[in-house]
Order: sequence, then structure tokens, then C-alpha cells
Amino acid sequence: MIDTQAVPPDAARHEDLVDDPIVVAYFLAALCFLFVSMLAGLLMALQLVSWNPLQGIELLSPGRWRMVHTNAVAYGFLANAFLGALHWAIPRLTMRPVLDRRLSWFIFVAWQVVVGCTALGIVVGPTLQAMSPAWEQLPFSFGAQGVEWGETPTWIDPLALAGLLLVGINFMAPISRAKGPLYVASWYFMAAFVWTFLTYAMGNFLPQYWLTGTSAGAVGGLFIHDLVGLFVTPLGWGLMYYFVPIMLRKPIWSHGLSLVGFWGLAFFYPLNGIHHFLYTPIPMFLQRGAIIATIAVEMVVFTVIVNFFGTIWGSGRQLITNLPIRWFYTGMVLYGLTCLQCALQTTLTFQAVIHFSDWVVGHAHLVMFGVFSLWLLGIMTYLFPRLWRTEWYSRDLCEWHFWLSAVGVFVMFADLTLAGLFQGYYWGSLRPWDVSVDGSVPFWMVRVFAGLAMFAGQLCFAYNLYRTWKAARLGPAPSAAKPAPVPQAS
Amino acid sequence: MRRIMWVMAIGILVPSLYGFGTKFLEFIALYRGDVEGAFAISPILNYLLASLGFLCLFLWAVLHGMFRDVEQPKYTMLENEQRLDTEAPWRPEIGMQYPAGHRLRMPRLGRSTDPNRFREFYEHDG
Repeated sequence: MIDTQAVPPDAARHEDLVDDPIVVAYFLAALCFLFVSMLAGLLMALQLVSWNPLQGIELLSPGRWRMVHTNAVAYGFLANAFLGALHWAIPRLTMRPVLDRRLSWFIFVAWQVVVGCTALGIVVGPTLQAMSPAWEQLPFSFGAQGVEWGETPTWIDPLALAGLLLVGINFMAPISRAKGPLYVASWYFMAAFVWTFLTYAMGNFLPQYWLTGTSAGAVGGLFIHDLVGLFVTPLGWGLMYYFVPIMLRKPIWSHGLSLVGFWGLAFFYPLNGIHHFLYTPIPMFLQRGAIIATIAVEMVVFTVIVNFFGTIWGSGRQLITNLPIRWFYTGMVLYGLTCLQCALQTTLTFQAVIHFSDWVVGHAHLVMFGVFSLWLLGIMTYLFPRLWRTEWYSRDLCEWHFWLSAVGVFVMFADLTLAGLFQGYYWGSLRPWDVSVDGSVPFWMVRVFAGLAMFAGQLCFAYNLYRTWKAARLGPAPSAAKPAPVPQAS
Repeated sequence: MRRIMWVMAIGILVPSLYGFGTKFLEFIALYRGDVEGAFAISPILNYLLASLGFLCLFLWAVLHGMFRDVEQPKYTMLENEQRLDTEAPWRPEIGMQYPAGHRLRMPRLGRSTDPNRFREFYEHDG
């Protein structure tokens, strides 16, 4: 543990503040779960076009793979990558280290256990429980919990919640010790630690133990959306507010406007989730309230996007010459697109067509991969050379990584959006179900190839990372290290 | 400018408060009048509790001068970063940055591992 009192903030060095190995460990764990998740997604895509290579294997059935796909990306990839990036950003932002480096490592190991057990519980939980009559008598299931995005088995929920509490304590210590008015990124991070804990508790415990029926459904809707809006969004934007100005070497266009964005998110976002359950028995005033809150959030989002484009104004060439910036701004454009889509699709008119269709799946991929994964992969592209003190093995592979990921996810989004519209109109015209399935197959074929492109991009990244690591073991590259200081003649 | 701000603030806040107030009364009427209306209370309570917490945080921030010099934190953050990077063992330009005149081109497959492959950037950057 670093004694924060011994190192005055003004004299702190990077080595005093950031524990580089834990950043690397989180990023590598995140990438492992990204591969698991993408493999699972690919299997699901193959299942839809009747090419499932695991046909007939109960443990690897598509229903289980689907849950592994969503959970591995949310809790395995995004959470790990965010935690890695936060271990870099928060200490440098506040000029103070985290509360305790040993606690950081404990949380790292505990979180991998939580995510690993979740995957195991989803795949083998029910089978394992059926093997022993004593286990079958237990008051809880080894398998998935019946909450969308909250499939983490019930026996892991308290551990996950304790982990989130420890994360908050570890990171809040440096933020709370920071002097003077807080930079907007710190506001986002603080809020995320509180919101994520509350959101996880609400979504995993209320429907399981206290609520039933429509009420549980309404809370489930809040949970699904708050997981995106109150866990992923504040961490994502907080990191953008940190990384973009330091890479462009100029301050954010308007700090005041960025605070409007933050407080707007804080007050408008929490009621949005009900829009997942339009046309249900939930009272209409709640449904309409959610629609209005969603449209209000889009205005808030607009202020944030304007702020970032105001920042890069005059430095547009950085989109070509600076690859992490290109990752970030591509994600921002897709974020604007997804929020515009969100404002439209939450209206009752749109919902009548797209509800339950592949439109929603396209939207989810655009948000999770097209925005937040692109940002995190951009952060990794920026940080790995600093963490390993060497340049990338191949800049061409970095380019392939970017283009395959960005084009792949955009094709998938466009394809599924169209598929959703076709499906909605097939269903609306009351034609037989089979007709809508047959009409969807060409779109699902395109989705397989878009998914393969995204997967190929990550393989390029993994290979490049491996070769860069091998080069790093030989010592810092001459072009990466600073030149030795020239002795001054006395 | 201040007058425009006040007009806009009142123009937005008054209708919003009116809308929120009437919807809240509607909610209470539903809760009292319909036995099944109680199920709407959990999402509303969730929202109110979360918002109340942030309202308190907002008031705390105002009282502690967090918004007094609202643009200063963005400069402080950059200065700190610059100082940390100056003392760091790597060059600030490390990472995927090309020379200023770089053009987008089709990336090639395979390695491009000239040990001096990024030298042009540093030379260009001085």
C-alpha cells in the first residue's frame, strides 16, 4: 500500500499513483471474456441459420450460450476493462493512489471468480444440482436467475454486490481526497460507483425475493436499462472526458456544458427503463413518463456530443493520425446514432412495429459493441504501449482491428435494424409465423459474416498484443523510451 | 444574458414542475383507488430515492463551491497530466500516432516491424 500522506500530491509520480500490472491484468481478463462472449454470439448466429456445430449437446445448447454471451460481455469484458482503465485514470486524475493496492488485487481475483462462476452456473448449474438429492433440496438454484441481464445465479449475487461495494470504497478514497472543484470525469465515476451498486441490488434482489408479477417486470425493465445507463454510460463518458483532452492536448470545449450533461443524466435517466415494457399492464402514466424521460435524456446526450465535437474542432486530422482518437470518435458517432434511435423507438408508434424483433438486438449490439467496446478497445490501444513501454508490433494489425470491428458492427446493426422492420411488418400483417422466419434468414446470414468480421478484428488485436508483449520482454523499444538526459556542462 | 437565463429557467421549470406535480397526484390517486395500483409504487420509489440522493449531492456541491469557477478543473487536469507524462519513463507520443501528413490507406496483412517505424513521428514532432 502506498502511504498517500508520505507523497505530496504535487510531487507524485506515475509510479506512486498507478499500479501498472493490475491495469494489464484487468485488460487481459477482459479480452479473455470478450473472446468467450464473441464465440458464444457466433454460435448463436450459426444456430439461427441452422449451422449449429454443437447440435444435440445439452450442456452447450443455444439457450445457455446466449446467456453466456450477454453476461460475459457485460460483467466479463466491460466490467474488467472499465476497472483496468479506472485504475489508470482515477489516480492520475486525482493525483492520489487508490485506497489499497492489495485490495485492488483481491477485488480483481474475486471478480474473476464471480464471472467464472456465473458462466459455470449458467452452463452446468442445473445439471450439477440434479446430480445429488441433497443439492436438489437446497432453497436456491445453482443455475441462472430468471432476470434478463441478471442471470448471475442467486448464490453469487451477494458476492458480486460485496465486490461492487469494495470497488466503490477503493476508488472513492482518492476522489474524496481530491482538493478543489471536481473535474467532470470524477463526478461521473463517483455516480457510477453508487448507481452500479444500487442498480445491481435492485435488479437482482427485488424481483427475486420481494416483488412478483407486473411490479417485478417493471423493476426488471429499470434494471436492464439502468445497467446500461447508470453503470456503463457514466464510466464510459467519464473515461472519454479524461482520455480525449489529454490525447488532443487541449481542454474540453466547455466544462460547464459537461456538468449539464452529468446532472441531466442523474435526474432524467433513472425512470427510463419502463420503456422496455410499453404496451404491458404497467400503468400508462408510468409508460408515458418513461417515454418523456427518454426523450429528455436524448437532449442531454446532445449536449455531451456537441461538447466533444467542439473539442476536436480545428484538430480534425487527429481522426486520421491518432488511432485511439479515431476509436473514440467513431464510438461517439455511433452513440449519437443509437440515442437518436432510442428517442424514436421508445414511442408507442415505433414500438407497435419493432417490439420483440431483431431491431432491438441490433440496437443492443450498437450500444454495447459499437460504442462502449470501441471506446475500451481504443483505450487499450493507447495504454498497452505505455504499460509495456514499447510500440505496437504492427500498426497495420491495429488498423485491421479498427476497421474490422467498426465496419463489422455497423453492418450488423444496419442488417438487424432492417430485419426488425421486416419482421414487425410480417407480424403486423398477420401472416404465418414461418413466413417471418423465412424472410429473416437472409438477414441472419449477413449477421454471421458481420460477426465473423468483428471476431477476426479481435484475433488481429490478440496476435498483435502477443507479439508486442514478446517485444516488450526484450526491453523498451528505442522509439518508446525517453532519451537519456544530456549531462549539463558545469 | 442573465435575464435570458432566468426566463429560460422559469419557462422550463414551471411547466416541468406542473407536469410532474399532476402526474404525482395521479399516481397517488391510483395507489389509493385501486388495489392493484400498488404495484406501480416500487419503480416510482426507486426513482424518487435515487433522485433525492442526487438532489442532496447537488446541493452539497453548490454549497461547497464546486461550481464557482466552473471551467478551472479542465485546465488543472491537463496540467497534472502534462507533469506526470513529463516525468514518466515513456515518450508522451508513444502509441498509435502517425506523422501529421499521414493519409488513410488500406492496411496490409503481416508485420511492419521496422524498429524505427515510429521514428518519423518523433522527428516530425521535434
